[in-house]
Amino acid sequence: MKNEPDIVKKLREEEKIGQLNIKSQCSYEQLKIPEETLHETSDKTGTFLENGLETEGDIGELFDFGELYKILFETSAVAITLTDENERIVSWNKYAEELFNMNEKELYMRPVNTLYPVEEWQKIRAENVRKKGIKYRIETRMIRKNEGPFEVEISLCVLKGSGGKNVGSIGIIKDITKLKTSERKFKESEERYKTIFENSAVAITLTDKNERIVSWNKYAEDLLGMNKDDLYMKPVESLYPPEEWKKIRSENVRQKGMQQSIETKILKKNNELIDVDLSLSVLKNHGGMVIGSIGVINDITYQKWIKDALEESEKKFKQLYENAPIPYHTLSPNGEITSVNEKWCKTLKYTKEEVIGKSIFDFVIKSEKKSAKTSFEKKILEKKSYTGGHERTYVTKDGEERIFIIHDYFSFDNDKNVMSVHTTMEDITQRRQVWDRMMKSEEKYRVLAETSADGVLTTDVLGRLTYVNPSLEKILGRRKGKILATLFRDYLSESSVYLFQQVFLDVRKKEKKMENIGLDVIHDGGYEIPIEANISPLKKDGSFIGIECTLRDISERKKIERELKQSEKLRTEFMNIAAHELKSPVTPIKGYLELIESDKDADEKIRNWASIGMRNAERLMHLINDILDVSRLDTDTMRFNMEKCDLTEIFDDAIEDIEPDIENKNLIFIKKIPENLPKIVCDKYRLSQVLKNLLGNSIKFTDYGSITLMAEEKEKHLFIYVEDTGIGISSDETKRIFTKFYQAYTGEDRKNEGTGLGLFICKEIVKKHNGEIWAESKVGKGSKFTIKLPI
Amino acid sequence: MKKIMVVDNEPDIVDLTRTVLELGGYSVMPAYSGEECLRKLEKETADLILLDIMMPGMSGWDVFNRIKKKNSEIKVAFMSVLEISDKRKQVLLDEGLADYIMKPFDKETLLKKVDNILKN
Repeated sequence: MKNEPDIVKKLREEEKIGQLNIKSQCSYEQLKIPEETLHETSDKTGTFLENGLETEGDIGELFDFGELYKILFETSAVAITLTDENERIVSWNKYAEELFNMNEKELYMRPVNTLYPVEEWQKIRAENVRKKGIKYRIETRMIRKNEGPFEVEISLCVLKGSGGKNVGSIGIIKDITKLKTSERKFKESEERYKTIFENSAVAITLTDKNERIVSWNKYAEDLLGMNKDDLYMKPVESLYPPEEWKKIRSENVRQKGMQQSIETKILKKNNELIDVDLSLSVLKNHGGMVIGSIGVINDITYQKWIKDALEESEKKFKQLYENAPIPYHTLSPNGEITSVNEKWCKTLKYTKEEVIGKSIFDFVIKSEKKSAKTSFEKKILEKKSYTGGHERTYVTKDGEERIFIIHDYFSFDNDKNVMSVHTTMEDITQRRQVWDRMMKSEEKYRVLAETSADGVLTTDVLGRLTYVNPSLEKILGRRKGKILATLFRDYLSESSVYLFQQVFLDVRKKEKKMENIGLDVIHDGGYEIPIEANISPLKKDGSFIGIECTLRDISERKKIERELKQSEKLRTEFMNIAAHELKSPVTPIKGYLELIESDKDADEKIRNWASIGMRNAERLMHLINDILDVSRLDTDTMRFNMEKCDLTEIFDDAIEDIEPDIENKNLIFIKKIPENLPKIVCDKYRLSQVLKNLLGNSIKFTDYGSITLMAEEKEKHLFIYVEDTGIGISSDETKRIFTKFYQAYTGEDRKNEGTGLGLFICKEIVKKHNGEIWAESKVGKGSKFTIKLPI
Repeated sequence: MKKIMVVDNEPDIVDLTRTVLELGGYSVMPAYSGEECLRKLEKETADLILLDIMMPGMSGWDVFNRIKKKNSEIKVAFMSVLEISDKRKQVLLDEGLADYIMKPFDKETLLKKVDNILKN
């Protein structure tokens, strides 16, 4: 620290000469330094103190070096040597022998320089004692025999003879080894203090007697956010908010001398308040006068924050614990209850006061008490944090037994010993009761099986019948007494045995129910009966003991299925007959009318009548075809021969069919079919029928303009368009035209006769191709029909 | 003159067909059931048989199969109101059927088809 204030200089001075009356202990305790540093320091200091004790005997006087010198002088022996003019030892006292570890012989006439290390002798020589006559307290080193140099303080005095001639010298030698060691240690210690002072993670401030700050360490600057100028001579009072200062004052530190750990608040330069822990120590001079104080300030903001957070968390946990919807108790490692929550009390009907401190086993049902205790003790030794849930029955205060699934969680101390056991309990009493009732109801199931309309059987592991119900007896036509303990597979048809064996093994292996297994059983009368079986594994104590099987006679169902198929065949046949019967009479009608029409000998009038008859025969034929189609669609007997088809073929077929009508009406036919259209799967006869129908309609309702047939491949679909410039359809009709028997009456007079079935048939056929058909139209402008088919 | 047997249980249709065929210059032998057709074939022969399918008693299918079993050289064509698929038609043609003619027919078509069959 540069520019040391006077007080510090003074303090240091006083320290050196042992006038400062601070006891080292006290200073130590006030310096709240980090623990490790403290350990290290106190260890070393400990040595120092011990040495001090050995030597001086009074720790209180350790720093009082004035006193120390005195004691040392008084108690130490002094070696005295006398040399002649040639600097040889001629006389000495007893202690000299001891000091140099030499006897009389060794010392007598010994050149005195041999008692010094060479460099020390030179130093003494340099003192020029011979001229000065006397020299006090030269600190030097001398040599002790067998041990080497040691520290001494020597005073030399030259003896002069008459005439001022040097005749010899007297040396008074004092061993100061111990003193030196102490001194060195003290210095080290001071150094250490200084280091601690500077580097400690606590702020240390020193005030003068007027309570102004005169010295501080680096950390103080950091903590307070102040620099040298801010701190120096700052009244210490201004570091605290007024009420805190009042609190500090009330501690009366001046009288007590010191005060530790005052929790207070301190103001930073930026006026931020921080929580600190303050220790104060008053400095007094030798005469007991207060000369200042040391303040050790510890920032506890973080600790305080942690403490608050911890308290909060503890509060939350406690709340959780208390309000948990399941019973919860905490035990000591010997099973003593240390706490329980409210739900626990409510469930077991005790108050907290009644149970805390008692053994948990006092509440376990008598029959489980011993095993509960044994298993608990075992768990404590296992040292696992969780041991899985298990069942335990407790008895409530009013004697009721309640069954719980309990889960124990163990907390450990630092030595990994169980500190506490936390137990959550799930009350399963009710569930258990239901289970018990269910077990009792097994009887009911037996009754159910007995009265079931389905056959019910059970077998053992080998597949031998262990139970059959009356329905099964009936299905098999065999009495219970005859078939029990025989193999079930003996009553299966040859083709069913293998399947049954497979299913039996599967059910056993997978422990899974298998449903709707079709088997044939053999009736006692020798005929086979089709059945459908559901087979589940039967288990006892977790292991497979056989199967349970319900089976239903499905002969009736099979019969109906057969009849249904038959009926479908019949319907198709009927439709064919109907078609035949309806069309057959038309053949000769049409045929003969045609013959008349083309007979050149016939009268023109007759030929004309024949052609009217012919036109109507055509209409009738058309009607018959439509009605047959609708009937086939309704009875689902229309056959579709789906195959991959080239569309051009279908288009050409349809176009060929309508070309004469186009010519008759003088319409323009436009064909826009791109090449390389993909082939699609369809019934080409039916698709062609749809196109003919659409094109036919267009021609029918178009008197001027054109009919367009277009196709394109788009979005993975094939689009076919039939567009005309005819009278059009109103928008609300565009949807209805696809319904059965719907006729679009667009004109005032109904000159366009039709069955009203064509578009319905078209829609149904397109639907069978998984396609869509729709119409867009504007009255007076024309219509556009679109077929969308998947490719 | 080529001889054609027309088999149909409907006398009007037999007559009509006969009229048309005779106009086309063929000689026609009528039969009014499948059984009659087979019976007549035991005594006489024909170049072509036009055979209805749906007839009481023996159906056209039965008659066709019988004739084929006899390894007869006589050509057989069905004449029916029943629509059949191209696939089915192809199967029949492979089995030796000469043609499948839809009823009602018009004069021109019938004659054209019969001409074709007898030309080959």
